[in-house]
Amino acid sequence: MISQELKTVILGALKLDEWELTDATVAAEVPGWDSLSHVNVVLAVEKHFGVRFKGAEVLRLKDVGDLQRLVDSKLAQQR
Amino acid sequence: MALSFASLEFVVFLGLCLALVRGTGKVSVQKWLLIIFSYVFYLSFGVVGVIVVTFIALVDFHVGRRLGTSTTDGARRQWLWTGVAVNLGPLVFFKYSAFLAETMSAVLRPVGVRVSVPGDPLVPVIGLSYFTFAGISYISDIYYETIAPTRSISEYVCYLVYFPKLVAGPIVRAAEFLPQFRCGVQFTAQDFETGCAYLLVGAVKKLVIADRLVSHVSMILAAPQHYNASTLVQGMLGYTVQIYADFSGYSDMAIGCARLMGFRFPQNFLMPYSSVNIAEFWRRWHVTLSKWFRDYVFLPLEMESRGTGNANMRASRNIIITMLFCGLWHGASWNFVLWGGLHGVALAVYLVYSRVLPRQTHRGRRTALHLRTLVARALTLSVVMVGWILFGTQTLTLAFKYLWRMVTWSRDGVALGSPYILPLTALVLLAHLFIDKDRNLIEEFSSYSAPVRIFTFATLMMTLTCLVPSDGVPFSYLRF
Repeated sequence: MISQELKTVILGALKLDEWELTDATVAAEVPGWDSLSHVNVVLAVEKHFGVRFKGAEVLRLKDVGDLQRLVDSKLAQQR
Repeated sequence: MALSFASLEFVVFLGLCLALVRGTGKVSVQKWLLIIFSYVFYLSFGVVGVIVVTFIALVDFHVGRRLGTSTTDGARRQWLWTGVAVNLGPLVFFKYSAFLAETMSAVLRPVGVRVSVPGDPLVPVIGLSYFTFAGISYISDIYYETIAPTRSISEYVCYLVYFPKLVAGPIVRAAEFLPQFRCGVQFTAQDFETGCAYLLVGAVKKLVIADRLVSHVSMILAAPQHYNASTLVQGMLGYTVQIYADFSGYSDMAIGCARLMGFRFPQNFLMPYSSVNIAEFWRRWHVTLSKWFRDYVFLPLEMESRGTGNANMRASRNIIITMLFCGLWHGASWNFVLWGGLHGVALAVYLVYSRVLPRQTHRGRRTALHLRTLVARALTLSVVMVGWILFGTQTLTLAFKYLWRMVTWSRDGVALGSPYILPLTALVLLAHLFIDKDRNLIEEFSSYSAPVRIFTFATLMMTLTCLVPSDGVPFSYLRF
């Protein structure tokens, strides 16, 4: 289940007012989320949550649910 | 003689393969039959390629196994780069050594250093660029842990040499192919019908559209100084349509061959000339290649350099670097490098433009006939067509001469009247305008009523029977 916080960060990075994001949402379904904007989204998520992803971790992401789980695991490691 | 998809010999070859493979239910037997047929297919292009692809398959398999068992980051990176280097070795040797030698010779000659340039061209290895990239994707996906290495060398060999995709793609990833392959060759009546539809549509695109254009277009591209501007514009339009019809036709036929065995290949062309910006173009043109460069060059570059410097400058630099390599992949020539650079700059401009746009409420896609959409499509297609001049001419001098004569509207020169260029251009561009660019009519084919399907098949067959030129022309993308 993706958090409202993550949704807000993603939509903010993509400059979208609103868009339905679920666990199964993939980048291609979201307007403006392509390879050119992908790293911007990643950077925004890192900055907001205070985490740092490895390149391989980001390249393995399939959907927004994967991103949420990655964020959760990074936050759990920090505690 | 090389087996071409668009030949009767290939139809017989494919029929025999299907009959034998379908005749056995055992996956292991099917695998060896496909390996044998793929090697027979590839042997028709020459023995050197067979040696090279076998070498790469063996290396990839063993590097993949080592990557899978390595536990430290350092060891994994070493195996990754070892695999990439060994895969690129034959590509650099066979495809780029003369180009590199000529370039170094030109650079060092002014300072008195002589570099010997090979006099005779090396034996071309057809398909080398494609299966090299397939191999690198396999090793990289193991490194990124998106797939596990295969334990069966014959399974990997089958993946790499599988004949529908071997010589000109699509660049199918192991993660896409192996899970399907492990279920065995099994197809439904729907698969058979859809596969035949892909084959027929691809054959029409290649034999009826592309081959009709090639002779006039080649003449114009080879000697632009002889033709007036109006003819040069026609040549540009003709090449735009020819390269699309030839390459997407080949991809359709490759997808169709695989579908006849129940395998689903990724789509490679998604109505690219309907794109409203250059980024969308690259999501629709040679999709498997652009995704390869996105996943294995651009995104790693972005991830390694994120947070450094200005974000727009960094991303622009990375996209230009990526597209320069994409251009170089297409051929050992500065024309291709400049073509890649043009697209890289266009993508960078689009990237900066889209980032400075204000926040927007997404209202859904406008119809194709909306004025802003038409203008956007026309602008995007214009950039693409200018790029095709760089792509289709033999030298930079010819390319600049071509563009200059168009820009200055040179009236001297021959007016070449081709009865095919404008009608076929209109046909293809109108299809891009009126067919929903997110629909795949071939995939929907089996859902149509029986009379519609029969009529469509009959029309395609008659078109092939009546309108194919007598002289066959090789697929143009085999040379990459």
